[in-house]
Amino acid sequence: VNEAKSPVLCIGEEQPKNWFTELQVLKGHFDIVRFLVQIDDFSISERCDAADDTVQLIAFSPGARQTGERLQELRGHSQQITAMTTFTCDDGLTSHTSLITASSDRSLSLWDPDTGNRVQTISDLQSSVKCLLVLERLCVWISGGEELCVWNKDFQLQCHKQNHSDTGITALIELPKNCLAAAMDKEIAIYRLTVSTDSSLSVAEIRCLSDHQDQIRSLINVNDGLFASGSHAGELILWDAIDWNILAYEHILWEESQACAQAEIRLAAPKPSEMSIQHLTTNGKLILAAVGSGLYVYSVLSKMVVAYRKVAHDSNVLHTMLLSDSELMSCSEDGSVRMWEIQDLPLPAEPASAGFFGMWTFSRSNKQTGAPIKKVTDVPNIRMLELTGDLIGHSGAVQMFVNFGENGLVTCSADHLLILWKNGERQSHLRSLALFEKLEESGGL
Amino acid sequence: MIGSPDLLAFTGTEGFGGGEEDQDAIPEELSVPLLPPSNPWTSSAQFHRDFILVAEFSEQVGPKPVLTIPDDPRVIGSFDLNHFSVRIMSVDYQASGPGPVPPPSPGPRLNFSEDSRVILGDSAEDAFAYVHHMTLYDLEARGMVRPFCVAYVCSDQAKLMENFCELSTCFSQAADSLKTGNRQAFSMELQRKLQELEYTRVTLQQETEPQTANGLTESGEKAGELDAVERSISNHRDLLRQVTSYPNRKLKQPDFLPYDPADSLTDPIALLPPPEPCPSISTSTRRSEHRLKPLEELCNAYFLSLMKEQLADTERRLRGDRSMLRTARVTNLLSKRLTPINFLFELWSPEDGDEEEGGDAAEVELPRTTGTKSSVEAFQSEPMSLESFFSCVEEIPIKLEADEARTVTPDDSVATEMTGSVSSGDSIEVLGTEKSYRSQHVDTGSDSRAADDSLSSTEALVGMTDTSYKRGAVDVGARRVRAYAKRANSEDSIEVLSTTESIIPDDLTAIEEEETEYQSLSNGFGNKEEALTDYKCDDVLKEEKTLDTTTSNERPVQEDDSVVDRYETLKQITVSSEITIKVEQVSEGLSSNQVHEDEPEKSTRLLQAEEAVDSTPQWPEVHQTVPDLHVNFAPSVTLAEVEQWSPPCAPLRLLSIDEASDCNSFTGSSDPPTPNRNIHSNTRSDRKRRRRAGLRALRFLKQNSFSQHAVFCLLSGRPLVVVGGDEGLVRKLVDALSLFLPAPGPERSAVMMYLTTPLQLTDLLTWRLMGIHRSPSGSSATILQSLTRYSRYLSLLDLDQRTLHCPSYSGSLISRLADPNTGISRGLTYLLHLESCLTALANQALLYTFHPALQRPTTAGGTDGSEKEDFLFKRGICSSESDLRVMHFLSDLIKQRHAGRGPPVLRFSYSPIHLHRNTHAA
Repeated sequence: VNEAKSPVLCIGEEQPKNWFTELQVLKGHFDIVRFLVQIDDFSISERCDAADDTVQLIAFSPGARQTGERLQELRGHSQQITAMTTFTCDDGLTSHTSLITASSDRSLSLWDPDTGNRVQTISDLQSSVKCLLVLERLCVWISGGEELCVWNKDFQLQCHKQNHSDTGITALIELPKNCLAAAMDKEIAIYRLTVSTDSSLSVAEIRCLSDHQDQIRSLINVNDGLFASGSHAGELILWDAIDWNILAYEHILWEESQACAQAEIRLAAPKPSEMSIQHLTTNGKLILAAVGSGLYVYSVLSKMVVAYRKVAHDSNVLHTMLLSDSELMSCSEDGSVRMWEIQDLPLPAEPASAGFFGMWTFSRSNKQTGAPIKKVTDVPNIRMLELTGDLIGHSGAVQMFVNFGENGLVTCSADHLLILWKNGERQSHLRSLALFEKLEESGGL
Repeated sequence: MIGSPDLLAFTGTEGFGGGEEDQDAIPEELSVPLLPPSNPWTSSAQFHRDFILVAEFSEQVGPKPVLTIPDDPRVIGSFDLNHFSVRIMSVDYQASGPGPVPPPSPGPRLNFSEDSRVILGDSAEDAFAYVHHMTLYDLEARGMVRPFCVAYVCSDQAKLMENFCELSTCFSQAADSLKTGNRQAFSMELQRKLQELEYTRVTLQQETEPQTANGLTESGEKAGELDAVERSISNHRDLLRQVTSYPNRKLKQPDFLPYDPADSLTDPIALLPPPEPCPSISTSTRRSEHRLKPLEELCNAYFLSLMKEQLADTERRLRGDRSMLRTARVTNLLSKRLTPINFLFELWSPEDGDEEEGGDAAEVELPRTTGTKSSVEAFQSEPMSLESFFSCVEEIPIKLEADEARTVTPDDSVATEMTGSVSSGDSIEVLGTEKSYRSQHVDTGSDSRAADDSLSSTEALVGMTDTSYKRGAVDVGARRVRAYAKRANSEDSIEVLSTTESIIPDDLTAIEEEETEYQSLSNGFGNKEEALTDYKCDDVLKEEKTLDTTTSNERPVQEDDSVVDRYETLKQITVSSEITIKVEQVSEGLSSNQVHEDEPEKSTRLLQAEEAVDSTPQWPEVHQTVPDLHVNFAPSVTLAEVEQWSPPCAPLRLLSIDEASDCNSFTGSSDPPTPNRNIHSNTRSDRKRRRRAGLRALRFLKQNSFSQHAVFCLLSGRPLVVVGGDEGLVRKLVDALSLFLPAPGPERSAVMMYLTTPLQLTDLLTWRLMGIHRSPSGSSATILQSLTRYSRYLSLLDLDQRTLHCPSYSGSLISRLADPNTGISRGLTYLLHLESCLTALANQALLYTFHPALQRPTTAGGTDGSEKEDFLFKRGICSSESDLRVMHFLSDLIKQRHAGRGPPVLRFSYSPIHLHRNTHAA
């Protein structure tokens, strides 16, 4: 019975597909690091939620010369940071990226990451801001909390809209036609921004979608015509971005628990926390949902789960990423980062027979623990989510990661650390080049 | 004396090269070196370790030991210090002593003697010593001087010779400290005395004045008394002036410690505190029993402690046998030049390098024939007239022309003098004496003359010497004057075999300059040839006239033809000297002293009667005293030296011309003081630790079947954790394994002896070798648990279960340096072996790092590794993937060190971990 939960996931030490063979530890934070924001190709900044008042914001540079040097430390907020985003304002000649942060101290700040200066700040908001959205097209940005506020690039409030929800806005996405979707508890509110002739902005709620049965945990844009939302109860809903109709409804673990109940003697249905969709990510064709400690890959095209791993981590998955159509990555509260590959199952006959004989021979069934075989008969198209590598280093929950491509990967964690994972061979080569470069410059060591 | 068992022992030891000198008749190639009774390493010395002895010639009880460093009976053993003090102090008395200088002004004169340095030995007891004699001043002592000496006592004579320069430097420093402190104490004493005298005078004057009316006789007595007191005052003032003005002459020397000379110069009395009512009578009565002041009263406390520190430091530096010291020196020297990689294995500590600078040039020249060899040989073969006692000083004053002074290294303006003495048959041989004096002689006139208490017993000679030392305007920095002299002393138990006068080079030329200097020198010599010839002729005459004992000028010299052609004249000179040398005669007295003052810039020879003295200007290339003419004038000295790198067991003689037939010729070189004063200091304790670690590492290799895997982990950068219930064992093993740890960092910061907190990721970036004590109380459980999280990056060596968790190693690289089946059984030997292997490895890593294939940028993530790896495989450096890992890691360390920025990185690999059990019997 427990086989499904048994550690299928111990990949061992041989990981030929894992090219992260070098790590650097970036220290500087003194509390849980919850967010990472990529500022440009070479630097990121991340937020640290500090228990005390020393909130800091540190910009690291993992890219330039691959050093992971600490560039700036942005101090100013007195309480934990709740949201942050980059804000690039293109005035035609230059585009300069700045950083907007929101904090529990009910203030908003604009930072210049090059100098570390706090350029703008707004304090004494009615409530703390929980999410931020930049509409670069309109050169405005929106803060969401108990109220929805629209700001221009000079930090001037353009308009705002009070909410009736208790929880306030937890997520904001941009929709076509100057519309916004805001997740508030179980509902998704659609707002429209109107630019009047005197170039003043107004915002109006035009629709409220209340199809979720539980709190909405995740809200993402899938592509130009679709957005998706995931709830605490494991509901994944695909919405039309234009007319806001439901295109698909997937109750991820419902089907699973049904299948379980049919196939075997299941003692209990999965607990809600095990079904909660913690995080959604997409590449336009696939949606990757972090459900409890499992991973589900949902195909937008076929509107069905194409691959899944019910127990991908030892505890809740906090962040995921689709690296390509077949590769993905996830991090979890268990402190690990795992890399997966969507693989075709072996010939359908083989697992079936193995499953069949598995009932008779324990040894065989033990060997077959790797694949969720029972689903094969139910869903013929399903594929396998194979663990190809894991990154071990953090001693606390890995909150988030940012991928810098071949420059590496940055993970942040509750253990106050950031780890920069790199391709050791490439780094070694880069160091060679740097060494030769230095030799040429200085004519010697 | 010749052929006495004492001396035979010398001939057999490695340092002496040719023992054949005794058998005059036997051709060199047929002679068999006589071996010591058992082997060269046995010693009959009664002390257990080298130590430093400070002794004094007390005018009351004669020579007596004052203190030893270290003051530990375990070191001294049953060695008779009293007896030895007698020996070493006696030498001084016979070998040196300030000659009378006609006082320019009436009154007592202080002789500011330069110290003499002697190497002497008692082969019967295997006690050899480098002795530094000096005199301290004591107003109440006879002649106001208290002879002292500092001796480095050692059972290996060659060690003394090899470390002559260091000894000389260190002892000079210590002696300077002591003398400075003494001068201060002496001037204080003088001032006190003056106060007393002034007080007496005042009292007398007061008494005299009223009494003039009373009686003439009485007043006459008083007046006489007053006169005497006044004379005494003026005498003491004069003394005070002398002693306080002394520092002025020394101030130019960088290491001189002035003690504030200016104050008392003008009028010492004026500066004194108002005369205390300290009755002179009481003082005099107190002194009446004539208790000799102890050293503590003779010397200012600060300087005394400074001296003791310096001596203790010297003793520390020179611990260990010759090969140790030599290896350390060579290693240090060579590794210092490999700045790109010398951080990899802590074969030397970088802090040494800073101080060293100039010293290294000389260090290269370590292995060479020792001066003892020649002197002993000379001594042995010398036909002796027992009654004769000679002393001889030969000086070669050299004045360098300014340009020469530039091109020629400091060493070059060195006159070498060798004095030796032969005595009938006692157990102490003075093997070498070094006397140094500074170049201020001329300027300082009479003082410096008086100052010389060299072996030369004639003051006049010394004076001449001084005057002949006209230094060029350009001070060449360091001049070394070396003299070898032979003395024969029939009745004494002391034979002074050689005396060297030298000035310690203040800075030595870097070896790199050799080439150019050599060039310029050889060019310069053309001009000098004539002059030299003249001198030589003079010498020859002199020598013949003065019945020389043998000096053998033989030196491993390779003269190639061109050189021979070019220096034909020189050769002739050589020949003539040899002829001279063959004349074996002993003459008495100082028949002639020749000082070529007219041409001071050329090397002049001043031959003293008795001895075959060979002296030469030191050539810069040689960086050592090459007191031998042939060598000096044959420009291929360097070649010869190179040759000497090979173990000098075979006689390294390349006889020039007709010298081959001359059995009486010897190398007159004394070993060249390599002033490598720093190399040992910092690494000394470290050395000791490493030596112990070497033994443990060797044991680890032999006792554990998985040892190579563990070494592989260390060398490939995979952190290794040693866990064990026995804390001591863990520590020891960690210490042993740290030898294999690349880039241990300053203070071995990459080693964590004793991990007490749960392991964190950042620890892995800091420490690559850790020890964990598995405590029975279970407090280590959390630490051990923390290891499991990072097991991917770690290797775990469990001492209790005798297991090792780590990736397996296969390849050839590790087995070279960590071969469990090695025949090496001594820790020290293994350490040396390991160090050489690691050095080779580091050099290979350097080559690999700078291989041009690595220079090309690659677009992909460095997948073109095949070419550079081919390079490693083809050269046989690597034979497996594991070997490559080691090279990659070392290479990465080099890159990071020189081009790296940012936080440290941990490079790892996803390789299967195996459990290795120790299959060897416990």
